[in-house]
Amino acid sequence: MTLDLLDALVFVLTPVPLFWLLLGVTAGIFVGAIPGLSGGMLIVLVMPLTFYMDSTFALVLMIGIYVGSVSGGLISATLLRMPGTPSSIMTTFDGYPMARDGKPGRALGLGIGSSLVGGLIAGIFLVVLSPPLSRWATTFGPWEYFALVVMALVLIAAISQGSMIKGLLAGILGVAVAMPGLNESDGQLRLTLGFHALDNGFDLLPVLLGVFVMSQIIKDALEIEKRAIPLTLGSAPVWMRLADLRRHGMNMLRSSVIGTWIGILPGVGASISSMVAYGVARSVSKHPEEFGTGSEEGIVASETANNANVGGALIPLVTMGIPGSPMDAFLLGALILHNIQPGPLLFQTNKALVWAMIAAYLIGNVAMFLIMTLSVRWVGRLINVHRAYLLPAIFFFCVIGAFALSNRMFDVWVVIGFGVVGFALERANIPLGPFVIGFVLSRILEGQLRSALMSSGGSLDELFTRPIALTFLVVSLAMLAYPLIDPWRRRLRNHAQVKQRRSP
Amino acid sequence: MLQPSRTPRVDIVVAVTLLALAGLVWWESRRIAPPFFDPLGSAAFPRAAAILISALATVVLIRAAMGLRLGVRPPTIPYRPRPDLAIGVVLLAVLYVGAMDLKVLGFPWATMIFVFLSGAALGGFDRRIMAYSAAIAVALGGGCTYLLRDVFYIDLPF
Amino acid sequence: MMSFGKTILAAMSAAAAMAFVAPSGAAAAYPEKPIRIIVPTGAGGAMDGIARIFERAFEEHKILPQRMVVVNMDGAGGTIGTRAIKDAPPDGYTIGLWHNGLVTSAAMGVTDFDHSAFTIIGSTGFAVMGLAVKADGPIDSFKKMIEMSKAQANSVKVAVNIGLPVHFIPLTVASKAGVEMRMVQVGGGAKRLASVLGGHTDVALFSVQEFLKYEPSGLKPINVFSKERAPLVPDVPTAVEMGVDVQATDSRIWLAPKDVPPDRIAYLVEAFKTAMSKPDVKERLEGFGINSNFIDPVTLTEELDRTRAEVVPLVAKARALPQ
Repeated sequence: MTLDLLDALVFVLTPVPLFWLLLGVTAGIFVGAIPGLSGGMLIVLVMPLTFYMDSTFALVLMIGIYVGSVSGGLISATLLRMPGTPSSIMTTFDGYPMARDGKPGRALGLGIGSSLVGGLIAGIFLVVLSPPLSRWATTFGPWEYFALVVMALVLIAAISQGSMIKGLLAGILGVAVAMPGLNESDGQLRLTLGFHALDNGFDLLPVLLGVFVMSQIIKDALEIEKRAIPLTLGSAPVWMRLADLRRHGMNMLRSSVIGTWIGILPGVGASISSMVAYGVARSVSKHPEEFGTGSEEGIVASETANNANVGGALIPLVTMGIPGSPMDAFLLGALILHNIQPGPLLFQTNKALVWAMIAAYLIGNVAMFLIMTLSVRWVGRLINVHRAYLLPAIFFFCVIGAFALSNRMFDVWVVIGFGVVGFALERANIPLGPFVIGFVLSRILEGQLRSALMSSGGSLDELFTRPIALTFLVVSLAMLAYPLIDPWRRRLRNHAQVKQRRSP
Repeated sequence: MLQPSRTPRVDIVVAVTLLALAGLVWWESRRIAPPFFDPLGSAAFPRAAAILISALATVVLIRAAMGLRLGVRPPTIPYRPRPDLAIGVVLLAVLYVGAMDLKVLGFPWATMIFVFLSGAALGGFDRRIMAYSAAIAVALGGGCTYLLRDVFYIDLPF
Repeated sequence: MMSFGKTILAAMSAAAAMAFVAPSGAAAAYPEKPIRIIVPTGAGGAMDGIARIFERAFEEHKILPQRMVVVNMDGAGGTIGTRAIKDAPPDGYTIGLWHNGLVTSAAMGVTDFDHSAFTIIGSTGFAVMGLAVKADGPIDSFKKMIEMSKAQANSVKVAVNIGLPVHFIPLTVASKAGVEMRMVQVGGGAKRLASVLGGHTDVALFSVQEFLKYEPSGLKPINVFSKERAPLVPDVPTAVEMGVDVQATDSRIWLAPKDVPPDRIAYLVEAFKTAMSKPDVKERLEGFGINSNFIDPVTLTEELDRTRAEVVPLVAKARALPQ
């Protein structure tokens, strides 16, 4: 294992992979920093350009974008009070006040340093946990996968922002959208409405381009007048001191573990990690009143956790082929496009590739730290570039990408259609994260259940006699039931307190 | 447990659309052949999804109706939204793709026109922005087309 | 440097020379523009690889005066692509590459056309396939697999991809051996490997190339479906040797729309034969596990007809079964 990792680290440091990694990290930082653009968009957009690239280089590039974009968001959060990516929402609350109070360099320095620490701590978990997890996952049969996907869908619906009903609705809608077309389980067409164009249903790439990129174009056009004047960084030094490691060490460690753990949970993205870590940091802080007014602890918690989330979310992806966050759903799609079957056997059949991904993640974090520290001044000036230049070009790349997939204009129409769908869903506060995860996992969900039933001759018994499958199911049920029980329990407790007060 | 929705009007439109979609899925699933080669068949999942979607969409609908009655207002926003531009961009995109699909315009020309027009509109027909947009249009429609088609061998639309 | 006049002269004499060599009539100029090869999978797959070997060979060895261009049309088990080949104008400028799935897709009712809706150019070779098990699993031979299925119906689980040759070949084996085996939908090659090695299923169909690639992971071949034993795995018996008369290959079939002028098809056949005579092409094809012999349309059509005759009743039987 150590040898594999060393080999991979050396490989990623050779000129060609390193070039792709640095390109990815730099581009990721830019799209992450510019509000209205996101790393997910960029990954989906470059996917078709990597069709003819070596698959390892393609994944190295995408992981670079992933790491860069999660970090780049902190620049606009700090200087513009707009999160460049959703994962840096919590950073706006303390980063901006601190920058406004004349310490922009300090705020950025803390954010960048925390990102590195969070990324590396999660990297340790990634390296240590992945091989044994993948060995464990090879024992998973269709029942286990079915139950695991059920759990993933419930989990993301339950944890996603806003109402759980809408989270669930989004997830199931995603599952439903993947239904039309040729079905693998019995080799039959369905729900095509008689159109041959729908024989293959809606392909992953055009749907992602629509829901994540086209919908954002529409949204950005609607909000074109939403502009803010960025604070200037001036000549303030952007540094984090080693002493900060001691001062914020506990916070960093705690937030990293939270971020990694939430990252591992299938389907939950970096924004949730940073929210939870921020909340925990405030509740254990000696100065909770400073949170929201420029607290150093707040920036550290948010930025450590969102980068740690990236490493955590890679764990279920490389060990089980289950995306740990919506961004990993894109990486999953990229693997499939490159004819690499994700799953527990990846560590055996594509060992070099998996370790190269892990190495790219580790080196990507270091590269992110260096590039951010050196370039933050320029990026800080660029984040307010007028959207009129960006949006048309982005749609142009959508068209190329969707068409290149299988040379069909139909896929380009799918991009526009799902752009409108994604925009409408977001307006109604139906989150897109669960939608995409549902869409990606739909085939596994249905396929595994039907395979399991074929294997058992139609009996459901094994779902309840296999311990792992049963555990996943019980956890899902508990999460579904929790919001129903919780208010009831709280009422009971209130009732008891009232009673106590009445009878002193 | 039911809390009023914060975006009642949009919710009602989306919920009703989803109910219609669930109905369509249910209707179409009747044409799916009975199970063969496997015990469950292809109709089970679409039907289950249709039922769940209609149930959840009904809940959303009820909450939205409650929100309307309570007069819940969406939070105010500090900028002027531009629905005209949002619709305009979608329309331009449809024209762009339609022109290529119907083979009215070739990829380079369609691209240049689309990029310039949408850039100009998004920039409020500001002269400086229009000049830059024209440059981007030529770069993408001309340069990028050449690069992708002749250097990277990526197939482009008509 | 040649003068302008000389260049024109040279071009004219070259054109005159070509006019003498090429057959007369409209076809004389064929091909006068690039020929598109539709590959019904995404870029990077095994099928795509074969097409690109020829794309490159035609250009490097200057076999055709024009380029051949691979166009990937992925989707719906290849039927998006095969439909596009069928519906292309029959001028010889659009051809395609696919495999025996052409027949099974029609049998499954996914398409309303099979190989008879095309002009078949020929096959540029085939891959030998066979069944394989987990090395330390309960089944260690083809014979054992049949015996177990005889002793108890459905006791052997076969990992398949429903509706494709990897499904129909084991079904044919079961039907010819007079046993019942349980077919479990698993998916593509890597998924079948995971399923068999994980012990979730017992047997699956793989190509000989996959046998060799996955042997270190613990995969054990138990038979091949070729007429004679495969040179790459000489110890593995054929199904016929084991008393079950099933022969199946995975052919690389070149297709053109119906009604392409016969002289253009003949031109293409010659071009493929020329390309396949080059050692580097042969070598690259073998890299994909392909036995590279050009198979003529007549033999190929017979093979596809035979597959159709085997597969159609199997589907009809499955549809009639109450599940």
